[in-house]
Amino acid sequence: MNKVFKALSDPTRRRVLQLLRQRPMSAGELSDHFPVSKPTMSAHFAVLHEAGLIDAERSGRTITYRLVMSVLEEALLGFAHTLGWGLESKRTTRVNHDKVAKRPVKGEA
Amino acid sequence: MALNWISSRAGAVLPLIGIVLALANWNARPDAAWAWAAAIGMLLVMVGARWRAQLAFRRSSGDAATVRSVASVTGGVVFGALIMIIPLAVSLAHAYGIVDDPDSGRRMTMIILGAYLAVTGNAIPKTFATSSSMQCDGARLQAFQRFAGWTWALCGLGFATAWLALPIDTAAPVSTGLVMVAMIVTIVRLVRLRRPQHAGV
Repeated sequence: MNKVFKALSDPTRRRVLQLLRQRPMSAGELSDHFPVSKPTMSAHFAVLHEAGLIDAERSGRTITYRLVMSVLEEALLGFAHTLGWGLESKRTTRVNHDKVAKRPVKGEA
Repeated sequence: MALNWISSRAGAVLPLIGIVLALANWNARPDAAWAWAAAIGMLLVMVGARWRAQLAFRRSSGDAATVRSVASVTGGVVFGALIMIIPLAVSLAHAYGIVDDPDSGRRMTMIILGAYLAVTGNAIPKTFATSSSMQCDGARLQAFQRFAGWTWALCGLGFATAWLALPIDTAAPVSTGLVMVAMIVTIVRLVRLRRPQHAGV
């Protein structure tokens, strides 16, 4: 259950689960919805897969993910989304990210 | 892991407790011998089913499918034994004058049955069903599994709550109605799932 809570604590992973509610999607399709790198998305998929919330099916070079959430896990996802679990840490990370981005780079005119 | 251990031990012990209770009931009320004999027979079937599942597990290589099926059989035996043990215990207590209300056993049995429906419904979206076996695409199959899961989980919770809170005369029709509605709604969705979907013009 700890793995499930860990998986649901991140807003990006919650968004992935919400997208997968519509239909099974390939890793590429899912990644297109997020402004993050593919390795970062792969790490998110790995956490969700380890928690048993998604199932991966490989055909050729494509990996298709589908939702395998129990009713209780879906209810938890709903609560997490409503209460905004993990948003605070995400916001802090984003602010730090912006600060780093705004810092002048040495050698720039 | 701890849950599996508890479930495994409960699956071994509960049917035996049930047999002991049925024998005690037989001793206390020999007039209903056929009922106690039937209860013992059913509990022996549970012991046999669990024993066969364990034997199959020992003979297998311990793959995920066998583990899942053994867990499923054990879960069924635990719930089945609980459903029988509670009325047997209440009946015995009633025979010895410890419990006044003979309906409390039925009420508790129904609450456990409701919990069983809720637990089963909870697991429906996690069950593996291929879209080829259901003759439909993955999105529709997933939508159906989610719908069926929510329907049966809520039906089970409603069922258990009805038997927990309502008078028995009301709880019986309410719980039966809930199960009927859940069945009809699930069957309708299943029929619609199997019907080929035409593309819009």
